[in-house]
Order: sequence, then structure tokens, then C-alpha cells
Amino acid sequence: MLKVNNLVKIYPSGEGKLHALDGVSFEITDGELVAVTGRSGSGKSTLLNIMGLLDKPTEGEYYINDKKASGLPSWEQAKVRNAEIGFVVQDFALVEKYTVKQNVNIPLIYSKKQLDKEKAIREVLRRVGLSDKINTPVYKLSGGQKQRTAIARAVVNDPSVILADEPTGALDSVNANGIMTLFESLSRAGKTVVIVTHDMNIAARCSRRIELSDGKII
Amino acid sequence: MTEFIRLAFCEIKTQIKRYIILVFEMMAAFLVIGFLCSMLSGINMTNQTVNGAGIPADYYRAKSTAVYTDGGRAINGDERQALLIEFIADNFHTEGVTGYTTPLDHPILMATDGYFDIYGLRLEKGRAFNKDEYDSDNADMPIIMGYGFINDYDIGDTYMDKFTIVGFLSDEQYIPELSGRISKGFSVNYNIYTPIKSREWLKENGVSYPTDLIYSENKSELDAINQKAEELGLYAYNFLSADEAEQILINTTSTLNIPLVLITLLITAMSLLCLVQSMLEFVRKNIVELLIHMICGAKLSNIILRVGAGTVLTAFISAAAASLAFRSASTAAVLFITAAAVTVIAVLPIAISLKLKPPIVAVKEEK
Ligand SMILES: Nc1ncnc2c1ncn2[C@@H]1O[C@H](COP(=O)(O)OP(=O)(O)OP(=O)(O)O)[C@@H](O)[C@H]1O
Ligand SMILES: [Mg+2]
Repeated sequence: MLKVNNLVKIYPSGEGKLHALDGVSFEITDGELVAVTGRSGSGKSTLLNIMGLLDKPTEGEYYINDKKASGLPSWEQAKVRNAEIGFVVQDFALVEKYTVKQNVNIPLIYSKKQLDKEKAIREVLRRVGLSDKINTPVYKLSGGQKQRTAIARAVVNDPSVILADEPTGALDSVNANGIMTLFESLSRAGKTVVIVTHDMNIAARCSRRIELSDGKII
Repeated sequence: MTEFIRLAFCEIKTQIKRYIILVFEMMAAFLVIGFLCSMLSGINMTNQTVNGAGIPADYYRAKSTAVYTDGGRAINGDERQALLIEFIADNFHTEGVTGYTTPLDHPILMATDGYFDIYGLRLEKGRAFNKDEYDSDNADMPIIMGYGFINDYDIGDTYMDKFTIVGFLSDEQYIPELSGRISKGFSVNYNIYTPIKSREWLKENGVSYPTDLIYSENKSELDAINQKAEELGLYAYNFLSADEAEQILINTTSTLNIPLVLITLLITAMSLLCLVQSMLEFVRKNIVELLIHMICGAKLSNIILRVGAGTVLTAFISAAAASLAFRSASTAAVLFITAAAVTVIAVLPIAISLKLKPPIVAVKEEK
């Protein structure tokens, strides 16, 4: 379960302040598949980064599975990030010179979970349809293939929460469909999935929608 | 600790090419630094030698007026030089060493009675030569070896079937040599000494008598040597007192080396800069890719460990390799301290700046 309470994120901007998030509160129960929508600049990535423990809110609290995650020391947040959260960054954040396999392996380097790592990597690449690219360096991939690599990396360590910032932005509708099918099956398996998206078709397939405008939920 | 080794290994395995290049870059810089060190320690060594030489005031060194000779010893094959040396040996008390090289691959130095005292050479172990071992012509030859042999031989061992080892000199002892522009202290670590034989024995075996230091209460008595030299058609000699010899040593070493030291200092400063620069670049490149690991749950400490461990290892491997070239503990110490300093300079500021930022900001900024 995820819970955010009165999240505020203020950026200094010129003379004044920019309220990228302005008092956002909501709860997401396990297994929900949630779409976060809103115009460009409405604060979607800011919200997701805070939920992914990659950024700190100016104010407000954030709970993962009833445990307060905001305000934890950064090394504990890293642990939570590794074990509980799979994050798909808007611009992929892959290491270009690594192979697909090396990129997908990154969370497993730091993981304390007892997993068959080889098998986990192969399985997740099969699900995103990249089995044939396993040893290809990432710089040789197309945008959509990179996006799928990023998604594979987000789910390989079996996190309970998957946060994806525009996971289908670079994909054609066939591939986008495939990824949505993957997210749906993860959500059916009890994982919490939060997707930032502009795509109304994608949003329609989610069980719930959170719409942001100027840092507020509408 | 196992975590540290695992991460360091993981890091080096994935970056092996970068690391090898960095090792070579660093080795080049360390060689320059090491060169500076050995040069400075050379000067220091000379100063030590000059200060510690303790040559008694009433000994003189012969120095040719035309060119520096080998301290006035015979120049090989010159009959007249040999005669002059005979003359000096007959009429004056002299101290020094003469090389007894003939059948051996390592020359043995025949030292006079007062030699070890004059230069203050101390023994590490074993015994000094006895009075009655000097000026003899009997067959057994005791030897004292320099510190450099101490691990290969032992007291009582026979060396070259002929010499019996009776002692070893202590480490870090030097003999001042006047050889023109390269006057400096020479280490005695690889010298082997035996007591000087009798005049007859030396003559029979074609070994010239040592005349490094010529004793005289009154410098004017030495004029006799120049008269003899003139009769033989040789150059006239200057005779330097211990003080004058020291002065020459000081002058030659300091005037010769200062510009060289300055240039080397400059090059060293530049190579240090390059070293820090390439370290910084290296660390930054690695950080960018490791920051992505933070998104996937790597702790900052994991990343600093990875980069730090790799950097420390590289720095120390190259410092160790460069140290091998110099074979000097103090140079090695300087290189290792430099390595440590460079690593800290390269890693610490980045570590601190990352510590202060949330991961996403760090990732975005470094990209
Ligand atoms: N590091 C930052 N410093 C200052 N302002 C920022 C920073 N990051 C984001 N902002 C601002 O915060 C607001 C929200 O940005 P955010 O990236 O969350 O938007 P978004 O909804 O994800 O937009 P998009 O759909 O284009 O990705 C924007 O006005 C943006 O300019
Ligand atoms: Mg965004």
C-alpha cells in the first residue's frame, strides 16, 4: 500500500517559488494499477520521483506498506528502492555501453533477495520481448527497445511497487499494448503499479486515474 | 570487507580497459616524481657524505691541475703514473682503496689500515680486520662485504673460492668521491673489502698502491710530489685538504643540480596535475554510470566504495610498479603518499557533493 499525505515540492524559480507539487494526498492499495495524468509541467515526474525515493519532498509524508519512507536516511531509502521499488525513468537512464543484460542486472548487484539471477533476467527479457537482444549493447537499440530494457530492469528484482514515468512514450501501439499487458499481469499478481502517461488509451486500461494540474489533484 | 572486495572486483572487471590505461598514465607520472625524489635524495646523500666523511684535517687529496683524475690513482697503463705512485707510497703515509680485479667478476677493494675509521664505516655484523691482516703476503684473504650482500652470504662463507667472509657493513653508508662534475657520495652497499697486501705482493700482482688520501703535517711537504711529477713529465697536482674537498663536493653538486631540479620540479608539478586531472575525469566518468545504479537501489556508499576501491587499487598498483624502478624505500614512500593524496583529491569532493543531493538531482546534473 502507498500513501502520500499533503506532499509539497517547492523549487526556487527566479524571484519567486514554483510549487511543483502543492498539497497532494492519496492512497493506493496493493494490486492497483494507477495512471497519473496531466499536462506537461503539472508535476507528474516530480511526484513519481518522490514516490520512488529519488527526490525529497519539501513538505509532507510518504508511506510504503505503512512504513514511513520519507525522512529515512538515504542509505535506508536505497535499500527500500532496491527491494520494494522498480522505477522506470522518463529518459530511460540506461548505461549505454552496457549490454541489455548488464543493465537489467544492476538492481541484482545490490539485491539481498534469494533469486536465480540468470533465470530472472532471462524471464523478464522474454516478457518484454527482448530475448534476442540480451547481449546487445544498449546504444545499438531503438528507442522502444531501450524503453523495454528500462522496464525489464524495473521489474527484475521482483519489487512490490512499480513506478513508471511514461513507460510507453517511445513505443508503437503494438509494443505499448504488450507492456500494458505486462503491467496488468503484475498488478493482478498483487503488485502496485503507478504509470505516468499522456496516452488516454493507456490511462483507460488502468483501474484508477490521478490527474494533476499545477501540482494539485483535480 | 568482503562487500568491499566484491564491489572492487566487480568494478575492475567491468572497466578493465579504463583501469589499465589509468595505471599506465599514473605510472608515467610516478616515474617523473620518483626521478625527482632520487635526484633530491642524491643531493641529500652527498651532503650527508660531506658532513659525515670526517676526513682528518692533515690528509690531502691529489687533484690534477688539468683534469680531475681518479683521486690521483694510477691511470691504467701509464708507466710514469705508476712510478709517481711508487714515489708517494715510499715517502708518505697514505690511506685509501685500490681495486684488485684481475681474476674476478666482482672487484675486491683492498683497503688500508685507517680506511674504515677515516670514513666512519660501521659494521652490521661480524668483525673488523685485525692489524696483522694488513700488509701481509700470506694466502688467506678475509673480506668484509657491503650491506647489499647480507641476504646472500653469511659470515664464515667462502667467496670466489678464495676469500673468507668475516663481516658485513651497515646500510646507507657512503664514500665521497671527487670525480669532477659527478663528484658525489657513493654507496658502499655493493663494495667488498679485503685488507691491503704488502708492497711486494702488490708489485708482484700488478696492483697499484692506494693514494687516495696523503698524510702530511705540512702541506708544503707535498711539493716533493710535484717535483717528482715534473721529472717524470706529468702534470703538476693540486693538493686539497679535507675542507677544500668538501667545498668542491658542495659546489659541484649544488651548481650542477639546481636548474635540473627546477626543471624536474616543473615537470613533476605538471605530471601531478595531469595525474589529478585524469583521476578526476576517470572518477567522473564512472560516477555518471554508477549514479544510474543508485536509481536501482545502490547506496551512495556502494558507489563511493566501488569507485574508491578501483581508484585506490589503480593508484597503488602504479605506485608499486613505479617504486620498483627506483629501489628506494623513501622514494616508494613518497609515491605511495602521492597516490593516496591523489585518490582523496579525486574521490572526496565528488563523494561530498553527491551526499548533499537527492539521487535524481545528481543523475540529472551529471548527465
Ligand atoms: N530540478 C528542478 N528545478 C526547478 N524546477 C523544476 C525542477 N524539476 C522540475 N521542475 C519544474 O517543476 C514543474 C513540474 O515538473 P515535472 O517534471 O514534474 O512535470 P511533468 O508533469 O513530469 O511534465 P512532463 O509531462 O513534460 O514530463 C515544472 O514546471 C518544472 O519546470
Ligand atoms: Mg515528466
